[in-house]
Amino acid sequence: MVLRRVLVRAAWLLASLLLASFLIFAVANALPGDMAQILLGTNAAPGEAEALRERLGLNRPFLVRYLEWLGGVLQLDFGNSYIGNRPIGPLIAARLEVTLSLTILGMLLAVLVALPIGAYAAARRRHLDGAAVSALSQVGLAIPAFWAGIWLVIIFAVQLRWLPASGYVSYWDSIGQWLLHLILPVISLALVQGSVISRYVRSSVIEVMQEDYFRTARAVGWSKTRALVRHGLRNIAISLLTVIGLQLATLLVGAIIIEQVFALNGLGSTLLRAVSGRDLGVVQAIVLLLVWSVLIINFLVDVAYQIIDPRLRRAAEAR
Amino acid sequence: MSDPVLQVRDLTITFGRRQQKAVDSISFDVGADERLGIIGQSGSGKSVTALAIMGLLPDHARVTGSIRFDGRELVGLPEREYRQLRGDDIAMIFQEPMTALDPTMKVGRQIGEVVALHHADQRGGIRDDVLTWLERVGIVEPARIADSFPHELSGGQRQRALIAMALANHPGLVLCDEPTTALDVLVQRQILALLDEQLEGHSAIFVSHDLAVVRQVCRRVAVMLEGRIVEEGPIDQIIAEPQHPYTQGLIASARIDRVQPGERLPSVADFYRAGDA
Amino acid sequence: MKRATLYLGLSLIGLVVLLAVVGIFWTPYSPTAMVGPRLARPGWPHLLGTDGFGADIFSRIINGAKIVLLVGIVSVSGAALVGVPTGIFAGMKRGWAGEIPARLADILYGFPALLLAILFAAALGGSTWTAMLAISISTVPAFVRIARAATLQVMSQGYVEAARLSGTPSPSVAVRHVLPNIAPVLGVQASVSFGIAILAEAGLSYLGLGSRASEPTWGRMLREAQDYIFSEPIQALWPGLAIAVATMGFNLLGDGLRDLLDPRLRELR
Repeated sequence: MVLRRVLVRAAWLLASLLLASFLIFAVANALPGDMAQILLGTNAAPGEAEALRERLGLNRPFLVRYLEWLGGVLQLDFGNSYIGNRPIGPLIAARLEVTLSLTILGMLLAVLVALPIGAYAAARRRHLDGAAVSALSQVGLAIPAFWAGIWLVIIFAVQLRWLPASGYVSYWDSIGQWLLHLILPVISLALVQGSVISRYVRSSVIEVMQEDYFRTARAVGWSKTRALVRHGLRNIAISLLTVIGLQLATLLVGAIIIEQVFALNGLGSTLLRAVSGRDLGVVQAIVLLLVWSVLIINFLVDVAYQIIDPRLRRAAEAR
Repeated sequence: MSDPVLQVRDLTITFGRRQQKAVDSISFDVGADERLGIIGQSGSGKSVTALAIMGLLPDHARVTGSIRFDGRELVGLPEREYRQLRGDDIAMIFQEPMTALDPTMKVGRQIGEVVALHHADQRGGIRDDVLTWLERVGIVEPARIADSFPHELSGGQRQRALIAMALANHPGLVLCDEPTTALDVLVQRQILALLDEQLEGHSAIFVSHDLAVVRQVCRRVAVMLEGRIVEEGPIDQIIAEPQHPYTQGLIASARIDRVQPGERLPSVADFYRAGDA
Repeated sequence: MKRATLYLGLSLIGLVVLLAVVGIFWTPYSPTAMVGPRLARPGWPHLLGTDGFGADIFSRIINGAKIVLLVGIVSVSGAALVGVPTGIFAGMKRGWAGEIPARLADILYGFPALLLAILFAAALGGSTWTAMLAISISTVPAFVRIARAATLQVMSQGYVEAARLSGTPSPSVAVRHVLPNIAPVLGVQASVSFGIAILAEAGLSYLGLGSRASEPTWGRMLREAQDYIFSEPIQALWPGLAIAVATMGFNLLGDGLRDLLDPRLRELR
C-alpha cells in the first residue's frame, strides 16, 4: 500500500529530524571552555559570568537543555541570541526572503536551462556540437559557484555596468529592482547546478532513447523531439525530481557562499556573522533550519515519487 | 496481378565506419493483401530490413538501393514526410510487448494518440474508436483495459493493445517483428490466430526465426542469411523442397516428429556452417 | 574517446601533484612574505604577479596545491576507512544489523559538508583540520551507500555463495571476495569525492572558515582577490583556475574510470 509506505517513510523522517537536531545541538554545545567567559572576555567580574551562565541556562544538564531547546523550536521559539539578547526567530524570518528568492530562482533557472541543453547533448551525442555541450558541462561542474560569481561581477557590473554588483531590494518594494539585483547571484548559482542537472538529463535521455517504448512512439509517427517530450520527459521527470531534491541541499549551501560574494544579507550572511561572533544560539538555529529543510524536501520528493510512478504504485501494492 | 504495394530493390545497409554490411543487396516485393514471411536467425538482417522500411535505423546506418511503397521512394525520403507515413500508412508491431508501451501512460491514451496524431479532425470519437479496436483485438473489458497502465496488463493483453495501436489507422502495410517470440506458447497461438484474422486486407511482412510461426500467417517466405536472401518462394514448396543447405537445416531441426526417441535432433549446423557457402 | 577522458583527468591531477610535491621542498618565494611591490601584474620575476600584500601569487598557488591535496587525501581516505567496512557489513548482514547502518547513511546523506564545517568552526574555531573533519564526515554516507550496493551485488554471485556455504568465515569472505570485486566502484567514488572535497575546502576557506591566514589556500586567495575586482580583476583569475583544474582532474578521472568499468557499473546505478 502506498499509504503504508508513506507512513514508514514519515517515521524515518521524524527519526532523522530528531537525530539531526541532536547532533547539531551536541556539536554546538560541545565547545571546549566556558561560553560565558568567552562571550564576556577576560576582564569581566566573576559574578558577571555566573549571572550570564544563569541567564543562558548554561549551568543545567545537557539533556535538559537539549529538550528545552527542541521544545522551543517546535513552537517556533529559537531562544534569544547570546549577543544582543534578541529573539532568534524574528531575526531569521527577516532574512528568509533573500535566501529563498536566491535558491528558488536558482533552481528554476538551472532546471529550465538544463532540460533543453541536456536533451540536446543527448540527441547530438555522436556529433561535435553535442560533445562540446557535454564538455562545457564538465567545466561547469568544476568551477566553484563563487568564482563564477566574482567573474560575473567583474564583467557585468564593473566593466559593462549593466547590473548592480551587490545588495538586495525586497520583492515587495520593487519587483524590477528585486530581479535586477538577483540576476547575477542567481546565474552564478544556476551555472553549477545547471551543469549537474544537464548531465543527469543527458544520460537519462540517452537511456530513454534506447527504450522500446520510445521506438514505438517513433514507429507511430512522432518526431524525435515530440516523442521525447511526450514519452521521454514523463519517464525522466520522476527520477529527475529525486535528483533535484538532492541538489537542493547543495543549492542551499551554495547560496550561503553566493550571499557573501554579492553582499546579500540573507541567512548565510547572518550565519557567518554569528560564527565569527561565536553566537552559537543563532548558529544552531540556522543550521537546524537548513538541515531540516533539506530532510523535509527529500521526504516530500520521495513521497511524490511513490505517488507519481505508476510502476512503483503497483510494486507497492504487490507487497 | 496489380502493382506490388512494396517493392524493395538492391537494398544494402551498412553500419559504422567499418562499413559492416547488415543487409547486402536484397530485393523482394509484397503485393496487395499479400503477407511475406522473412525468416532467419538473429543477425541475419531481417529486423534491420524492417526498420529500414520504417525509416527508423540509427543515424550512423547507411542505406542504398530502393524501397518503393505505393509507388513512392522511401530511401532518402525527408523525415517530415516519413513521419506522416509511420503509424498511418505503414505500421509496426514489435517483439517486446513488455517494454514497448510507455509505462507512465494509460494504454487507451497511447492508442488514442496515434489516431489523433494522424487524423486530427477525428478528435471527438477517439475514445469510442479505441474501445472498438481493443474489442476487435479480443480484449474482453476494453474500457477497463483502456484505463490501465501497461504493467497492469498481461503480456498477451499488451501485445493485443500494440496490435490495436498498429492497426488503428488502417495502414496499407504492417511490419511484424517477431510479434510472438516473447510470449508463452498458449498466448503465442492466440496472438497468431488474431494476427491471421486481423491482417486480412492488409499487406504485411512477418519477420521471425520460427518457420512454424511464419507458416501460420504467410503463404510466401524469404529466407535470410548473413544479410542476403538465399531462398524465396511459396512456403509449402520451400518446406517440401528446400534448396539452400541453411534452409534444409532449418527445416530438419524443426521436425521433432521425424526424430526417434534417443536420437539427436539435427541442428542447422549439420547442414550449413557460416563461411562454407 | 573513453581513454581520452581518463588521460586528461590524470594529466590535470598530475599537474596539481607536481605543484604540490615541488611545494613541499621549494617555492620561488615565501608564500606568506612581502617579497615585491603590491598588486604587480604577471611577468618577471613574479610569474603570476603579486597580491595586495605583495606576496608572490605563483608561490601561493603552489602552496595551495599542497593543502588541497592534503585535505582531499585525509578527508577521502578517512571517509573510506569508516564508510567502506560499514557498507560491506551492511551489505553482508541480513536483517536489522545490516539495515541500521544503511538507514543512518541515508539520513546523513543530506547533511552538507559546508554546514557541518560551519558548525565545527562555530564551536571549535575554523582551521584546516575542522574543515577536513567536516568534509570527511559528510563523505562517509556516500561510501557506505556505494559499498553496500556493490556488496549486495557481489554477494548474489555464485562463487561467493559457494564460499559462504563451504564455511568460509564472513570477514575472510569480505576481504577475499567482496573487497577486490567492489574496489573499482570504490575507486570511482573516491575520485568523485575528491573533487567534491576540493570544492568544499575552497568554499570554506573563501568564507574564512578553513585555513588560517598563515596558510594561503586557493579559496582564501579568492576571498582576498575580491577586494580588487575594480582595479585588478586578474587577481581573481589564478586561484579559481587552479581550483577548476584540480576539481576537473578528479571529475574526469572518475568519469574515465566509470567508462572503463561501464558494464559492471551500469547495473549498479
